[in-house]
Amino acid sequence: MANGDERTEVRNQIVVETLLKEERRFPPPPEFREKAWVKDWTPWEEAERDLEGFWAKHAEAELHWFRKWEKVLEWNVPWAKWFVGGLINACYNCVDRHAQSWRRTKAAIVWEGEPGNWRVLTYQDLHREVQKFANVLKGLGVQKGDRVTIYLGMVPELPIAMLACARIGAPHSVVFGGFSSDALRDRIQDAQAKVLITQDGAWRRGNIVPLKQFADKALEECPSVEKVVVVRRVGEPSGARLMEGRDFWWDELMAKADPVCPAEPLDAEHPLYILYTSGTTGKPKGVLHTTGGYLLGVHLTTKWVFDLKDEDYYWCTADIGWVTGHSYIVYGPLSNGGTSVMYEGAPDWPDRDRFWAIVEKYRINILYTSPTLIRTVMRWGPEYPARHDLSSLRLLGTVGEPINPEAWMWYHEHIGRGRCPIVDTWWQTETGMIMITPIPGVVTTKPGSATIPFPGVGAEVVDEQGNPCPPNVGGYLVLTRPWPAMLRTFWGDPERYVQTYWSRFPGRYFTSDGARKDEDGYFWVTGRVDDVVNVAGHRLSNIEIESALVAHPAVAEAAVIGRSDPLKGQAVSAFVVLKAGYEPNEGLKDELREWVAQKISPIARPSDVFFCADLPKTRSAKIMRRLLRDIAEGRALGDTTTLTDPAVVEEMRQRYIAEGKEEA
Amino acid sequence: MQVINPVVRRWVEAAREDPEGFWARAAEKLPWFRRWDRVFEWDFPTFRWFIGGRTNLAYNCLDYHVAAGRSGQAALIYINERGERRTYTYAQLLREVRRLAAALRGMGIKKGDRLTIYMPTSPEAIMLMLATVRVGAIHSVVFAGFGAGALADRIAASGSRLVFTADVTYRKGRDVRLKEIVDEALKAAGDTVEHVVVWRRTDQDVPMSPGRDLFWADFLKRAEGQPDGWVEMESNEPAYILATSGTTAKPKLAVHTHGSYQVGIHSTGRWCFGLRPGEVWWSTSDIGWVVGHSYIVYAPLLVGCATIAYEGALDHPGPETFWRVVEDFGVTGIFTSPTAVRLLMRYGSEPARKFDLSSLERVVCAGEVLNAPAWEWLQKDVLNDRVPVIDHWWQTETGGPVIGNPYGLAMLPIKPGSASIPLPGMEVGVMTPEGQECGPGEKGILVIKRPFPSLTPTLWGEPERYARDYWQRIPGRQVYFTGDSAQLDGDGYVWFAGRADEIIKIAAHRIGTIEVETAFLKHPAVAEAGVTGRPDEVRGEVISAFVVLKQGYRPSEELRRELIETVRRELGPVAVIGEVNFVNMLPKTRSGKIMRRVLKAVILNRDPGDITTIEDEGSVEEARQAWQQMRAEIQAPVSDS
Repeated sequence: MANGDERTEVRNQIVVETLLKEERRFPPPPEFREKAWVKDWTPWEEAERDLEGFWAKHAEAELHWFRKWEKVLEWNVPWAKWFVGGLINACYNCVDRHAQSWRRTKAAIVWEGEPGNWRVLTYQDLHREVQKFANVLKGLGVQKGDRVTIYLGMVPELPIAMLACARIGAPHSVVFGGFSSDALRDRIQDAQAKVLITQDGAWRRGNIVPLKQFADKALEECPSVEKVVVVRRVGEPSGARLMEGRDFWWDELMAKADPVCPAEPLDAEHPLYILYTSGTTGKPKGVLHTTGGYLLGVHLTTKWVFDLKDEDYYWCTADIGWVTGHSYIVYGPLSNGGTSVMYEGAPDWPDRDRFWAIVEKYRINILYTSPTLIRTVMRWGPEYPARHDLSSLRLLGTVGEPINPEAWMWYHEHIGRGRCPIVDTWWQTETGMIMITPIPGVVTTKPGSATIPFPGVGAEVVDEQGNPCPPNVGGYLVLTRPWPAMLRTFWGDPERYVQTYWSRFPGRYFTSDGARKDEDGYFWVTGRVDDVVNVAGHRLSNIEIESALVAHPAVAEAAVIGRSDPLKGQAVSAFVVLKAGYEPNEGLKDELREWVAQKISPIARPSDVFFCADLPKTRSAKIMRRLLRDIAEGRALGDTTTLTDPAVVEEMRQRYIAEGKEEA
Repeated sequence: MQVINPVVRRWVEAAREDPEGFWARAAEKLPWFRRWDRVFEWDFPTFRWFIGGRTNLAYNCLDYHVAAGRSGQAALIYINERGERRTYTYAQLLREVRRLAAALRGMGIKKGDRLTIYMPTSPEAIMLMLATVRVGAIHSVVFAGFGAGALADRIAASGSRLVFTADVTYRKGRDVRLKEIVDEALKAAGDTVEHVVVWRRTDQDVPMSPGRDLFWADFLKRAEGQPDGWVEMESNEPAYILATSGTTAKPKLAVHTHGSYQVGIHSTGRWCFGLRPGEVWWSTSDIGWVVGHSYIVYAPLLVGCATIAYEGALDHPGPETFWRVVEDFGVTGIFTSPTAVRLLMRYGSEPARKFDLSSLERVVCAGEVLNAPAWEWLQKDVLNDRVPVIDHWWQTETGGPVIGNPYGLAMLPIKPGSASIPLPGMEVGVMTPEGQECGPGEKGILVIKRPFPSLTPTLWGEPERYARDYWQRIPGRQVYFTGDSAQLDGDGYVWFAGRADEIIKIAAHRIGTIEVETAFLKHPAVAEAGVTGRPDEVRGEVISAFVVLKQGYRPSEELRRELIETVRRELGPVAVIGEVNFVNMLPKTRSGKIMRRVLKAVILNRDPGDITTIEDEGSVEEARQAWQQMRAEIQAPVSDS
């Protein structure tokens, strides 16, 4: 997520020139289309004819309501209310209705621990655990409306805790288990959480991350927290200590908990959860999602975008600490009665086979992962996936940032083995649900394009004045209509909500992403509008340059930023990670410069190419281009607390300076 | 005859009019790789069903469901007395079974080879059974409570190439070591055994014989490069063999087949128990018994249930354990034994009341007769008459139920103490030992007049013994001899009296052991009773009774008189009781049946090994052990527990 000052910078930019052309087309395989939930254009047509009727029809058919709504949508820009007057419970929809059906003995969650242990929770098991934990929360004094912060690794207790909160109407705030105690403290304080749920320690690459100790530090400054529940995961070596009267072991509370706790009928607009979007600078922003509309959005997108069927094993590799995990590990798949696989650990632990071993072990049918993961796997080489039987896969998805066409093709060939449609999905924490995406049985895909808006979603590419851009002219991606899963506000900061999303183009939601629409109406998201390089008046998307670099056989990963240049305004600075077997040298630098010039345009030719072993990434695996800009411009590094490994970047900065001096 | 409702009557009549058509329709409910050419051929004493039909029992249990989109459904739920719980979906179970199938091939196992599984009820053992059947090999599971002698006999009789075991099994909070027993057994019966595979669950040392023994992980490595597919089997090819008796040095090995056995247990599982896809089925038996084979493993998986496999004692660490499983997993059906019911009954109904048992739809019970008082306790006190408790009858040789209440078709009224009627397709009769048909109310021997698909068609390696022991017992009649004494009532319900050779003959009256035991149980002080006949110069025999009292009751002369009075009131003056012995426990087989021959041996002061008519599961060494314990007990005063 961009921070405030970067956005101001963006305001001055106009359009993004796009020069990379992609000619490859992948129509839906006929046998896939035949069995797909969505086979033709009917949903788009229905939504265009009657937007509210479209959403209402599916809300009625797909979800359980204690009481039907009186009004589908109340839209006072920018304040939306969906299914006004309706009573619903997200947990009931995700658990109870399946536990009462033939799906009772179906696996809801299949969990694989990093050390290799596993656990299957059937809908019946989940129903029982969730009810018990809901009673535990009640016993700790949690009431409808109270906030509960959840700071856990990827353990089964995480979805159980979320669903238990949803059951009693206590909004949860999940804080990614990789965050520091400072980040945790800020989020607890902002939400004024009453209860914290954490674990003794988390497994990460065979090491123990002492979550409870981090939590203890954060709690020193969080007086709102009255009780703490601690999941036992690693035991003694975590060094976790319980504070008498405040802290309780999860298992001990659960052993005494009553297994019956009916789901609370809640207003459709009752807050379901708060999820914080950016802690890199300033106050974190608590995106608020509410119950009815959100659930409909994630339910329907899960069903149609992933074509999720009852027989599928579905695996989203994200961490539940991010919105992807909220919507597409927990709420979406479970609302559909699906089998959702969750994995605790790292993709390269104990070796680089791990992901593919999991696909093989559970016969995964649908895999949803990130471009970063795909590029990382590309860098490791195709021999790791090649060793495994991936024939169970029938659909692949990506999320998190635009995927470079070369990575898309690699995913298609080496993971999908040329058989599986790929859904490149564009959405945000704020949108709650997938917004621009192929529907795999209908939409022909083009590598690198998220294709077209989901039925009912309105998206447009506009110029600085808010006028639609002509085909293939880059501009700002905006959303032109309200949608059910949209954020309703920032927790406790409505002005900032209006300011951030609704003031740039009045009446339209500002995504902060740049995009272009091609002559077929396909969207090509070019990245955050702050991720734009302005070379001598030409505005280039760094994503496109990165895509060109990655298409070179020697390149595994690349990040591109605009470095201040007295002559050109900005110069393209490329940070390149080479594939195994390639040596960094001057000749290769020149070759890559020339490569980009040929692939895109001489104006995109990088002024400098810097080889590095890794790129600085956030814990959600996004490249932190802000830090690369700091390096390239010789500034002190900004906040690095959300980095996976801050030391790497400092070392990079020193080397960059040294290399610059040499070249000079 | 209005007790039998029209639905059941229609089924029974259809089977009687056209048995082959009837069973062919039953077979059509299952997938076949190739349909059979002929339904039935009776080549006395053996027979074949669905001749030429091609199938694989393990394929139909797993691959078929995964292919049909049931991959995410729970298949196996493993629980043990230490609180460990593991759930496998159909897809996961299939994956593990494929790996084991490849590993078996890596060990050189081919179609028709035998291997012995001497392991606790566990996912590993169950997956191994399925993998064995998948590759067309034949498993011989030996109950992991048997001693080295019984194990040696079974290994030798089966001619196993491999023996699979574990370092320990869990029993009442203790580790019971197994590998040492295997080593001991192999000293006597190791000729055919090439390797012993040890599933190691503790970090305790395990004696390993280099070259012969390997650990589970090393066994799994043999899967490398081996195919993991199934073998198409002809309907009558054996899937497994299972020993039925430990009487002599050579146990009888019943044979159950891929096709016909499958049709039998799948049909009776649905007709008698009402098994249906997706339900949570808990058979409390052990994989060492036929109930474990048919109704923990094969039939529930064929139907698509989630089947619970429980390792350990049902009342460990306390009597809550049993009921907690029902609540925690939402168990819909239980298959248990009268022994287990009586065990739980000793604790009273309080433990059960702490749990939500509302998911339960029915309880079926077999192994011995479910005496009316035990039935009444479970059905009325515990389950408040909300769901039926259904007795039924069968044997290792029959593969599945023969006499039962067709709950899954249309339930008949329950008569407590009766196993209900011969199920559709089962042609049975009651005859005197001389071959005279008995009328209603006349006690005789239950016989089977015509083979049905899950009846064992032979004894492994001993076709002559099969003919002799089963089909030639009643002179001049070509009927299968069950060895159980029973009578029919006017409605066609079957009432079992006990083993035919345990009938007590008092002054020309034939009284079944079960009748007397049930009469004892009518007294509120009695938890369990076992009776046998003692020779008597005047009357031929009189009743010798062994009684276990419920908690809170003490033995006394007065109680003794009351008990005798109770039995006389129930059975009339013909039930002459010679003696009542108060004991702390009754001798039982490891599958929970009362060993009346041990009672007899105690009374006669003879070694139980001398009594050559032992028919039920168990082994001589165990009987002898129980006998010594009993003798010591009746010589010493009974404790006040």
